Amino acid sequence: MSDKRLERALAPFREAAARPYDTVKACKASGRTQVVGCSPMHFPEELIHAAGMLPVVLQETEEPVTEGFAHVHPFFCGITRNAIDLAARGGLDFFDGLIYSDICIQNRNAALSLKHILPKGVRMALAQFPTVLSRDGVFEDTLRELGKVRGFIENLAGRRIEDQALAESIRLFNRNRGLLRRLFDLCRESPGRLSMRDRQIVVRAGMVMPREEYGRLLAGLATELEAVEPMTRSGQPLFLSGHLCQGPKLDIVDLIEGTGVEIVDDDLYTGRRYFALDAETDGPPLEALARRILDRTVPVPTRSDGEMGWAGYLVDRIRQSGARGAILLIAKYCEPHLFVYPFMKAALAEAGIPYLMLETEHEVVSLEGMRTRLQAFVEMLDRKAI
Amino acid sequence: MTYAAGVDIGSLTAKSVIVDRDCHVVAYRVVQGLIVDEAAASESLSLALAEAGLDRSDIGCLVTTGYGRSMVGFGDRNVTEISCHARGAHFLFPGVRTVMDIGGQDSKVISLSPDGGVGNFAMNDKCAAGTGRFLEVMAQALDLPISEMGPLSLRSEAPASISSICTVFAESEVISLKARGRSRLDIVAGIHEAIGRRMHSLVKQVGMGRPVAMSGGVAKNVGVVRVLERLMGTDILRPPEPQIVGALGAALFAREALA
Repeated sequence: MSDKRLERALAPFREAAARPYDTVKACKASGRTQVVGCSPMHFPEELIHAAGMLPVVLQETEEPVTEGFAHVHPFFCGITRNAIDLAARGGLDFFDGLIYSDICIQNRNAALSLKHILPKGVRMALAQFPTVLSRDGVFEDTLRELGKVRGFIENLAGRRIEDQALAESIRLFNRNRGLLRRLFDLCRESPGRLSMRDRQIVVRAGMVMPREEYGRLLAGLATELEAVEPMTRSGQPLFLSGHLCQGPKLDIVDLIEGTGVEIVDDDLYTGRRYFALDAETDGPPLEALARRILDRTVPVPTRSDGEMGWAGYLVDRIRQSGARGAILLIAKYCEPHLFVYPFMKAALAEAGIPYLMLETEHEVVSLEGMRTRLQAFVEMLDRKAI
Repeated sequence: MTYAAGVDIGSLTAKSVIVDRDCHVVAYRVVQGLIVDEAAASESLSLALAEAGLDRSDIGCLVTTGYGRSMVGFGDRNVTEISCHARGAHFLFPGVRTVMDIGGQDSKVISLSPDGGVGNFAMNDKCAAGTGRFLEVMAQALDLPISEMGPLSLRSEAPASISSICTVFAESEVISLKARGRSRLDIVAGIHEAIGRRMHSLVKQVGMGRPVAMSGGVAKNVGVVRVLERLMGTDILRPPEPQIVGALGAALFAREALA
């Protein structure tokens, strides 16, 4: 398969990911649909889609925070400060609705700030799915909250969300997730097939594009990639972990790949985590969405089930991927991630897995310092390999 | 071509070390500058070559390291200062397990595995608190030559409490303490305590193994060394010329690459 065909296949994803909100505005301007934003992580976008609207997972844009500082403390994570700043500058006014999930204190406070900042034309809701999973009644409570959210969306759309439409949306999203899994599996076999940068771009594009079009483009890309022969491995194979609900800056992804390592797998929100789980396609669709929200296969530190599952999960994932080590990306001020980091450190040390923790920020500073750390980590691995 | 060279291009100094095939140091040079660029790096190498009576063509392999390792065009390869400081310290002090480097504008702690390789490391390069620049700013605020700061700090019996978080805030505190009539001895001692505490917290991130060595220009400051020895509860090994440890490590990597 020629490089040109791959470049052509990637072009629409790159365009959408480079200008995510322009992509959304273009959709809206063409009269195709209303657009509803949702914050990461657990929100079931299928509900918005089934109402005939475009679900948009909020993206962290590149602008430094300026006016937003009047509404948010500097010690909030990048994606919340960025969203608040955009809102303060009128950058989110094109949304018809915005739904935040109560996953952490920053998200909750962001929702409260946004409610005050955004014009009345942008209707807001806060979805409060249970965060303690090991108690009685958690499924019923999740279903009840989903029902409330469904009501908000129906009100926004001016129509009911029929179960059949919801079931069809679930099947579409499952198909897209399956295609993404296929793409990432192809890259795990041979990381050179698609750079980590492009893998990130493909996932992020799927958070803002009309999902039917996205699915068609994904299928085309998967076909192209399947035709690429596995390439000879070069560089240390590494696992990229972290960033629970925002993608790492592409500069940082480039920096990581620029050290010559091969990212064989990941658990980033804008990576494997996003498409790891499907919703069931039999039975009442709202219940299927509730079960998907509560699925503990991919542990998340914003929820408690009586055990700290992520450390063991991470060790297992790294071993399965064949990586020789891991890079852990922690977004500055992400409290849930920092809570589990000591457990991850201990688990990785016990498993004998070398790792490098990099703290990332919305305002990218000290790329050179990050480059030195990455290069030193690779030198360390290279010498261990001798 | 029977020699190897290492050039460490830091923020404030450029250091060059030349070793022969038996890893003996035949020459070294440290060049200070306001802005360290390729010219300064080249000058340090030229001076070291001249001292050794060698020509550039006598160098079979040259490794660059430091902040500016990628900006110079005359190296054969570059290796991070983390690996080079570990290598250099291990050469000077076989068996060393912890290396602390406090440079002009950054600091780092490296934990070495038993074979002398890098086991773990931590860097502080987001701000200059606790580095050579911190000392320069404080020396200026106190109107003292920087070379006197360390010895003076040892004479205080009641060090002032000074922030270790930010050079700018610390400078304000120093000026404020002076205005309130606090003795210069106590302020100087407080500055050294602040540097020591900051470095100690970096050591704790990595974990301390003994013996411990120190490299970088601030290793020449006896006051900082004493504070660290007290906080860490151990003697600290220091080479006669701590600033060239990184360049030495780079030279040793270059020697390894020679056929």
